[in-house]
Amino acid sequence: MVLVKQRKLSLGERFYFKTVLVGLAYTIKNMFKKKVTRMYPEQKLDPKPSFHGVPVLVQDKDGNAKCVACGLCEFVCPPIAISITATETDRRIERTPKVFEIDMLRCIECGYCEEVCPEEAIVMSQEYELTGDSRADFRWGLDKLLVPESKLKPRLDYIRKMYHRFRADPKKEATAASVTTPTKTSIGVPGIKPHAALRRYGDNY
Amino acid sequence: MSLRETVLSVPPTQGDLHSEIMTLNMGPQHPSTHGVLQVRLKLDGETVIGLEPVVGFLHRGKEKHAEHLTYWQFMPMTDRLDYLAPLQNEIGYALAVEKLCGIEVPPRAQAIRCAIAEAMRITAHLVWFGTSALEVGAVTPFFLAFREREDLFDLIDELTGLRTNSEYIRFGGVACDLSPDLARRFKAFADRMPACVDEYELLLTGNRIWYDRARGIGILTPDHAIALGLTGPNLRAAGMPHDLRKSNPYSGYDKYQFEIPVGTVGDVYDRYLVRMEEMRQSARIISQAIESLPEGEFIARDYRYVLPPKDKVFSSMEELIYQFKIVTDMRPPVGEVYVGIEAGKGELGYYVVSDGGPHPFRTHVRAPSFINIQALESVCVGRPIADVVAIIGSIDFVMGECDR
Repeated sequence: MVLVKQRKLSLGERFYFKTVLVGLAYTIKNMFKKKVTRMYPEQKLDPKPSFHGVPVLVQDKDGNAKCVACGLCEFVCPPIAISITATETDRRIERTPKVFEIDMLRCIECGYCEEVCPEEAIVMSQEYELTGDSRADFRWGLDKLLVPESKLKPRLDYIRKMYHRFRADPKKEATAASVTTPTKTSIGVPGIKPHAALRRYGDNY
Repeated sequence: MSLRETVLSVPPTQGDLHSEIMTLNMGPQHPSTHGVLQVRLKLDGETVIGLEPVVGFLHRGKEKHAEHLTYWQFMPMTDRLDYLAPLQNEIGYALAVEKLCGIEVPPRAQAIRCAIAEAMRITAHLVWFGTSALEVGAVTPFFLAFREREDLFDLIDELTGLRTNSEYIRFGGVACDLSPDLARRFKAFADRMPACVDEYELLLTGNRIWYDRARGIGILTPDHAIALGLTGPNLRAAGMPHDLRKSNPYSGYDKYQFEIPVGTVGDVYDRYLVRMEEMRQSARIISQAIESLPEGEFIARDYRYVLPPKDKVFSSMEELIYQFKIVTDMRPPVGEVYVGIEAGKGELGYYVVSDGGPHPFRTHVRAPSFINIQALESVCVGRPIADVVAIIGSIDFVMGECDR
């Protein structure tokens, strides 16, 4: 605990004399300092790989979306910005989105879609300037959302590092891997009581 | 006795001098401005004889909204409560759900959380410092405060990907690791901060205009502050050394050395001094947390509630199932928890009730701003109207958190 003491003003301060001088000296000193502001439209931001721009879909080499329309991002999206309709194709990965729409006016760029995606198909881009004349302009469909994988390389490299968790201790990593293999006695992590939601699957889960 | 004190010593309704009572509405301003608060004043001449804060203009129903979202999905919503210190809200909510689920947070994540929470306290106090000085006519502090705030948000931006409202805290830890380079820059900022606070004090502490506007105004006694339920800097300025970081340490705060600044009078000037000192102490905590940053994981290895590593999701069926299961159907055990943390404005509490389903049965936020506003009436009555502005500035509230 430290008491903050109210001090009495000095004579110079009481007659505004010192205050004015201090203020003027401060102003003059700052005139010669480097400016901290940025002239924004001319000087653009330089987004780092960690930057969350608008979410876009990754396009593979054949020009198809990597997305398999599993709907996990649609489920998790807190502001309900994503809507997906799935369809089937003759390709090796037969499921693909017919409609994939993100309402950029709703999107809060939280990055949950990217974090939950099991296919690395939706990532946050570096794009942060959105303009449009109508609400419809902000409903991005597949035509606008698909971006070639090569253009998203910095972000993809970054998230591969970022979401590759538990890398600090390789020894523990091995035990955790063995835990997840289905055995008769253990569910989840050893030493921690399995959750009720898992227990209903019984020991053979 | 100065002229000002002479004027103030005359009781408001002495003799036949009192005039007709006038009701004056201060605010509300446009919804897109920061605080949308209406204050209905009853005035007898210049003197306030009644004050009624009207809240609710920014009500978005966040608590009700939580009942329709999963535990995961409510995390970004907490950012939008106190938008001046968004990550502190996330930490409070995460601590509540972690207590409910019994997740143990690794030490590295705790240290990162501490550093971030203190950084948020600094930004919240900086905005308070800038705007409350602006309200009584000092323009320069606003620009100075926002200079440091931007520096800090640049670091937060690089760490989390978003400037404010950054969804960074996860149940069991944080979303990504703090790189050594960024840690070094956080440390450099923390080392620079006390000098910046000195710079602010140079302009304001000895400034006679600020001194006269702030001293002896809006006095809160400790008993009164406790009766009103005030916490945080307002209570500490009134002379109560109460701080949840000391009295009920969470997230490993007991490991760090810091002091609680306590006021002696409880007026606007004391609240200013307390917050200034708190910024220095916060910088101290950041510095210590970064210096003693433990090695290890940044998120708990708890496969019940934490998403599995991404590379395994791509390759292993088991992890893929867990990924879907945790996102869509994370079910904490039945129970109710309350966790309070020391946010910039006071005790920020989260009360979460779980019925075992994927959505919380009830979520309540003990918002310090809402409780701070209660103090307005009792400290403003009997003062001239010009003091109301200084007092509103000193009490420090954010309407996004108050109305929720």
